[in-house]
Amino acid sequence: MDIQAIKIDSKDTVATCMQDAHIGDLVTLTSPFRETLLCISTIPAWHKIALVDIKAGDAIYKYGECIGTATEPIGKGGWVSHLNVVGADRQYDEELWQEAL
Amino acid sequence: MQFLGYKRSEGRSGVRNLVLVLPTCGCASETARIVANQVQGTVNVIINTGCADVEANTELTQRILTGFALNPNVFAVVIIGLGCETVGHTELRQKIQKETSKPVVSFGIQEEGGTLKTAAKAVSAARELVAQASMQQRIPCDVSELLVGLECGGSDATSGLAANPALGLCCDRLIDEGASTMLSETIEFIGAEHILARRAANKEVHDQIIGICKAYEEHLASAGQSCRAGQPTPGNKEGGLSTLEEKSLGCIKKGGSRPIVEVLQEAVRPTKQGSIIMDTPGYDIASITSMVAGGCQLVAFTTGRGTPTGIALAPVLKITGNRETYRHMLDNMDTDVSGIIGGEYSLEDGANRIYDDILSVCNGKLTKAEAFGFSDVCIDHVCRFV
Repeated sequence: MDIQAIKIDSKDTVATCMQDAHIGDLVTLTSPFRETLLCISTIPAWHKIALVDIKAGDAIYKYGECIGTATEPIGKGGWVSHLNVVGADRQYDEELWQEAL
Repeated sequence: MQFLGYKRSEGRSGVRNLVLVLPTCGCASETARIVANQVQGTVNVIINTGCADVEANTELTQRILTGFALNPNVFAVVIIGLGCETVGHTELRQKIQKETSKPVVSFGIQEEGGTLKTAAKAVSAARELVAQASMQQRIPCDVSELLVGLECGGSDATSGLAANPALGLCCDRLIDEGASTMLSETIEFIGAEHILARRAANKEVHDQIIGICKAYEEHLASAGQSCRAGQPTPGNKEGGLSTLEEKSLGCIKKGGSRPIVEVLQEAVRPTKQGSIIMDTPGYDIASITSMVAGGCQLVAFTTGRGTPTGIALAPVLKITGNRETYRHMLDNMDTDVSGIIGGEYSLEDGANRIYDDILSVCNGKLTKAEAFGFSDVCIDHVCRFV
């Protein structure tokens, strides 16, 4: 089955599947990206698919921004979710200008 | 780019030409409604404050009432007061008149001797003002005069993927053409505030963005409410959101990518042009109230599940990326960008659709909420009533 997925920014390493995707499905990115990749996991609708091979500790990019880091390797075409991505634990005081630069 | 608007003697041009019947407090709101009901071309607001408040709440109410009167969509103001509220009609009128030369008249219910006697005078004044307003023609105005408020509510999975990023691209285009936009809902920045802060035009703005998030989180903590615990919610995770960064980014992406030039307190008018932030709650109606008091002539509102809300002073354009919602709630939805989700067109195409609709509405096309005459107002509160 051919599944559509939305990639938002050219920097993104994940896209969001518009339907349930299964192992062996072809996943096509919507305009303007148009790339097609092979799905290697079961991915529920509205969940993310890895667009590249991701190593444990790699930053995950969506919206062109880091949304968290991978806790385990995720192959290209694999399911990216709360089970294998964690957000950063941050403190406001460390986010002030001096530290931010 | 230009739109057809109403020139004002000072400040930005209006996209509507309204006579506002403005109560000073909750007790004058219903009399104000009766006045507005008698005169086509007027709008009224119902407010829940103006009395029995701590100073901080009084200050916010005053900023909102004054801000409503100064909004460019308002041609003239008819103030209805009671007589024993914190700030009476004469004082409010004088405050407004210090900042604008638009016509402002005021009446007090206790002074006049009740609702009917007040209404008799106020209706007659409002009719005169509407007649004056009706003589004014729309003329071409530069898009740099536009200040567009941004809001999202009733979000679903399509909000962060289609409507918000498309609105963000639309904002970039508006700002590049010289217009200004106002992002609000501080509570929804939390988790991605460091990413938002990176868009700051300078150090001061950067630290203000972090500062308003910290202050909001502390404020809610003082009432026992945590902003981060349990975020994203189990429902969010099931819906495909993995981290709070991802959830908050989906919201702030509607503000686009241009440098943020100013961070405003709630209901304060900007002093700069470009991408602006106002520190408001995530509660849609309160946030829209404050942005319109801050001078927004139009609010672009993204939604997934659909919402009817509207404010009488400014068009609220409903944008959805959910095709089912657009069809199912056609009475309330204005702009359909579901083709992004369907893969029929790109985010850029969706942004252009929003841009075109914003321009049409500025030129006079009524939004769904305006056609119904919706007038939702909520004045934010920092403390219980006294």
